[in-house]
Amino acid sequence: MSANEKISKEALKEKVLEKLPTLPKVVQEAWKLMERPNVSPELISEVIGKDITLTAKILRLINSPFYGFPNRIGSLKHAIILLGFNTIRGLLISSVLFGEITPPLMRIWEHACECATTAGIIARQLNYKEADEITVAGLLHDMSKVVLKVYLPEIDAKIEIVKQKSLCLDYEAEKEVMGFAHDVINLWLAEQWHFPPSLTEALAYHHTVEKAKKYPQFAAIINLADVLIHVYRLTPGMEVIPEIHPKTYEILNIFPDFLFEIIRTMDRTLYNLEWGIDERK
Amino acid sequence: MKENNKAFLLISEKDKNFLKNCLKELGYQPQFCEKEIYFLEKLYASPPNLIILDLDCNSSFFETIKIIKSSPIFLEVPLIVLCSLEKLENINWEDINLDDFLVRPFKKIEFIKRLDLAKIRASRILDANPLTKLPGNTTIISKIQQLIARNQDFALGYVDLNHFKAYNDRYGFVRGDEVIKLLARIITNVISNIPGETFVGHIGGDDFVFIVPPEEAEKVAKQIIEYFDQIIPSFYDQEDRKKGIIISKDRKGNLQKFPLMTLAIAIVRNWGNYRLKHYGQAIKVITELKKWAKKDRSKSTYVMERRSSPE
Repeated sequence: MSANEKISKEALKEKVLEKLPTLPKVVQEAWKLMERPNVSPELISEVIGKDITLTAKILRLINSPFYGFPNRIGSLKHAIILLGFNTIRGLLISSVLFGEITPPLMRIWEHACECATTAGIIARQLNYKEADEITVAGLLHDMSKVVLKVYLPEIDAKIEIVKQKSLCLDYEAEKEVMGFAHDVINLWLAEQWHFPPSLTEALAYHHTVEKAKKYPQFAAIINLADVLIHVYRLTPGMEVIPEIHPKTYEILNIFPDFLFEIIRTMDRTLYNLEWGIDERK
Repeated sequence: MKENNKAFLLISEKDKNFLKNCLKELGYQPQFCEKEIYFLEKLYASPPNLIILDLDCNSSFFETIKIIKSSPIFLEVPLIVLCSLEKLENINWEDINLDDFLVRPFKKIEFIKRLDLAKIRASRILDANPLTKLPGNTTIISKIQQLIARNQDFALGYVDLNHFKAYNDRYGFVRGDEVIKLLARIITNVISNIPGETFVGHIGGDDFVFIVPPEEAEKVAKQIIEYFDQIIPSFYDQEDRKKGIIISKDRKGNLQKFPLMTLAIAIVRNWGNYRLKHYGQAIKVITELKKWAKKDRSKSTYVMERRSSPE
């Protein structure tokens, strides 16, 4: 570990999730939803699954050794079932505190939701049973970028400058400024929070897919989803598009026409992406 | 001083120094908080060993107490309330699940002794299952007898895990314990959404008992099964999960294939013109029903007696 890594890991050891903001709309919708009698955990997970901070908090909580089964739960729906509605309400109440989601943070939130949806589409198309968990990985794959913006704003500012100047990827700019990128921070946090290995690998290796030893398909799907979203949205401020990792095709056993199928489905689904729940269901 | 021995207080400026000194004497690291909303956030992020809420500075925290005590993390954490004599009169202990209270003006020795006792009492949980902290046999029996004596309508459910031994043999008892804790969580959460008289007990090993109003029993059984079936695959290793079976030794020592764990639930209802007379009778009926529920152990199944019915 480089000196820079050591310093940042120490700085980030402090309770990182505390100061992260949550989308007020998500809290409102979730709260309203929980007032319905017999509401299903699945519906609640669809609403909460649009917020990075709440999802991370919920997964951190259910994987805490206190609950008795750390490193097991990667599905938001399962986490909600196991935490119970009272605890979820408690998390909702306390989540409204920490500042608003500024426009740069909002871009990360939007990208996260779209990546989550796309990852889910890919997983279902490939008949993976763990579509839930893969969706969560899609949502959280950039969570460390949020952490950087909120906790290390000076470093984040430097990264932005490098990005503008060299027109490069976030990943490359982060490496230049800090010596390592957001996927490494993801790894520290996921390990600290006892996330299941499948989720941890997806968060840590979605840029370096060859490093995913136990669950390469998870990392590969997030890699693919991330790129497809960048292509699809041509995110402003991200004129540079990451490449699909060479191993991704091999791991998922897919061919280029598969991508067309996915993009077609994305077209239908992302157009309707709302911040609440899909009332048509 | 125990490392990380934190005490969280939700309190105004009043008595802050007094409390700080008392807590330090007891070996706690006091952390103060003035707003309820920050309090919950801190609690979940970094659970303390003692919680003190000041009723005089904030009277709306009965909801907060309910939220705190609904989580297993805080079951053994003493929750102490401070208040003035006037406020004390209006508190109904049935409604709030706290461990002790202290009345202003405080006396140092009493304060310290009370907190010390609360800590000891909290770890002396009688009759609770050490793994799940749920009530055990003594409480279960007395609860059932209480309801029968009151001639109250209720449904008694017995939950049993199929193929648990095979799982333990294959993955070890530490992971087996995780499954027990999972099942306890599921049953507890499903029941906590049911209105009326409810109860969850842990007889030991992989056997649980629940009590709900009779008209809710079927819905409860279905939901427990639905949630368990969904989540249990995550507790198996990838290869076993894909195959849907594990290979383990049966009771004779031969290698056998076992499916993923499933549940067997048996329910008897004290309802309408079908009345139970004694705890023993209830258990006898349940034991019979369990045999039916375990006929096909490859699927989660619930069985209810059909003799009772609403009047």
